[in-house]
Amino acid sequence: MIRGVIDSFREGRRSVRDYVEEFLDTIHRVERDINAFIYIRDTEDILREAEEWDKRYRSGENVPPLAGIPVAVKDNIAVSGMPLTCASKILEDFISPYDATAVKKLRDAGAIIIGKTNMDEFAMGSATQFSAFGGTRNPLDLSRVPGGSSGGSAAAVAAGEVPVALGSDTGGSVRQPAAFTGTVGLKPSYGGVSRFGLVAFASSLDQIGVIAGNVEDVAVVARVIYGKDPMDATSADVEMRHPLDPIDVLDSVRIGVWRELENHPPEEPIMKVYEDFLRELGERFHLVDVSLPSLGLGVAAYYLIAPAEASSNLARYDGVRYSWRDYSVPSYKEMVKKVRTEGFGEEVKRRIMLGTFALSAGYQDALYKKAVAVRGLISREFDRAFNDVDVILMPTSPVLPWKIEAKMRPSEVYKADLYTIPVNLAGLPAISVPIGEVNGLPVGLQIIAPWGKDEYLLSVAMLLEKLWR
Amino acid sequence: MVSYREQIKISRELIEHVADMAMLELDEDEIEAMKTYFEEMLDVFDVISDVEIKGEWSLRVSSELRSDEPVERPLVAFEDLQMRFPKLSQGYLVVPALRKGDEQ
Repeated sequence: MIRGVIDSFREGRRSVRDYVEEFLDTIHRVERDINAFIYIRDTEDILREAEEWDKRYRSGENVPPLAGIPVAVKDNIAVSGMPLTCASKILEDFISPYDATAVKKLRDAGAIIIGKTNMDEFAMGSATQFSAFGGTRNPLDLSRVPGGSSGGSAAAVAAGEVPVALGSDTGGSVRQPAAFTGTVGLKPSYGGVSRFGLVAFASSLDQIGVIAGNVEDVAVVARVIYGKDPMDATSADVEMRHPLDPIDVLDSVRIGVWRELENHPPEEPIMKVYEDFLRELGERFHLVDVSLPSLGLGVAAYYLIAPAEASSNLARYDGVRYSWRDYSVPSYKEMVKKVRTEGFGEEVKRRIMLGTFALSAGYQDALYKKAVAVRGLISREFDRAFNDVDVILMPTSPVLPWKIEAKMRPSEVYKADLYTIPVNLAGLPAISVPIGEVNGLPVGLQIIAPWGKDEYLLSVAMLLEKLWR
Repeated sequence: MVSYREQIKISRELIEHVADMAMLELDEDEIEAMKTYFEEMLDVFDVISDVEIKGEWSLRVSSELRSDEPVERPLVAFEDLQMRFPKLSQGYLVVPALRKGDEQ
């Protein structure tokens, strides 16, 4: 765990250079098979930075909390001087001129940024196969997807290429790949982490999140990146100072279980793992059935709201403000169309089309406004449920990681986001922790808390993680 | 309940119109594939077709949209711009680089 590693640096039992070299060796060994990264920094640069931290540890000076810890960053989050492609051809040559606030905080805390991780283009996907740089494979079974859209970050952590990575979560893109790779993934309360420097997909839903091998490491990094930021008007002061001792929540936590899961059941083996976990949990805690009847409407609402916002956010990729400019066509409009048609992949085009349609005259009332109403409905149901419980449990995903070559229609894939999407619609914090496996494939538990209770959420997650492990 | 498929006909013309608004070009195969995709998504959306847009729910999140009318903005005369940026390249005005090293 990161805290133990930092202690070993402080006490001189291990050097930062040796620690970082272990991860670089792993990257060298497995990356060809997994393809978790779009960009990896020069090895010499990374090791030079590690040696700088070794000097500072040796000198006995106070060092920041993540000094010498390697971190990977999803390629839709800006890191100054590194590519920022969003896994899209349209941004393939773009180098970020600045750091996202979350990245700046990581750097200030001493983290060593290793590189940029693979993802679904513009974070639109659930399998990390819609990437202009090739798909990512699940380290637990190379024939299967790692989930998405932060599949590169999750795979890099699961494969031991880095101890921790940043992802982004608009409809489950941190939690679902965490569940698919047996890692832990946190989606903060909306506003908990600044979105400054996160390339916008659906601005009212996007959040930067953390993926690591255990809850404590997620908490250590979350403490660094949380906080209100003058560069993001939607950011908020969400408390994230120190993780509570799980013992503190043991006697008081009121655990809710989503009642209507039976109407939207996961695959049978997942249900069995989940029910076994609840049975064990029920022996120690009083579990409360909570009714959230509208969660089943979330997928429909999300696939109107998110594409609508995306169609607007992605209008900037026009060959003028971003991406290459094509001088071979005679008019501005033709040039914009040509660049966008050649630059965007198929899933991004589908969602831009759907969003443009949902917002167009004649369909706003029938589609978009209904989706916004459903969003309010879901938020209210969560509000009511949290009068009676502190956290709500459900599986993270209704399906296990599917085969890479599986042919699925887009609407089928979208339904796999059923349990994660309502959390984004309501702006709540949630985390996925592994609770079991089926034939070597992991099963994730999603824990959801009220807005702003992220610190408490992590404490409960630590408690439940200890019970399972 | 009247399904969205019954309410909204997804025609080739509709797909072409949406593509034009989205500044995308679709070939014949892509138009057909997009038509199928839209129809499948209407089926997904059916579960919310009878949700009422009224009362407290719609107040939780703003749903106000501007009217779908073109906005007229005054154009800056090319000659005025050329006075500030006299150098031309392939018909485009050459403006100062924002970052050091981007001068080329």
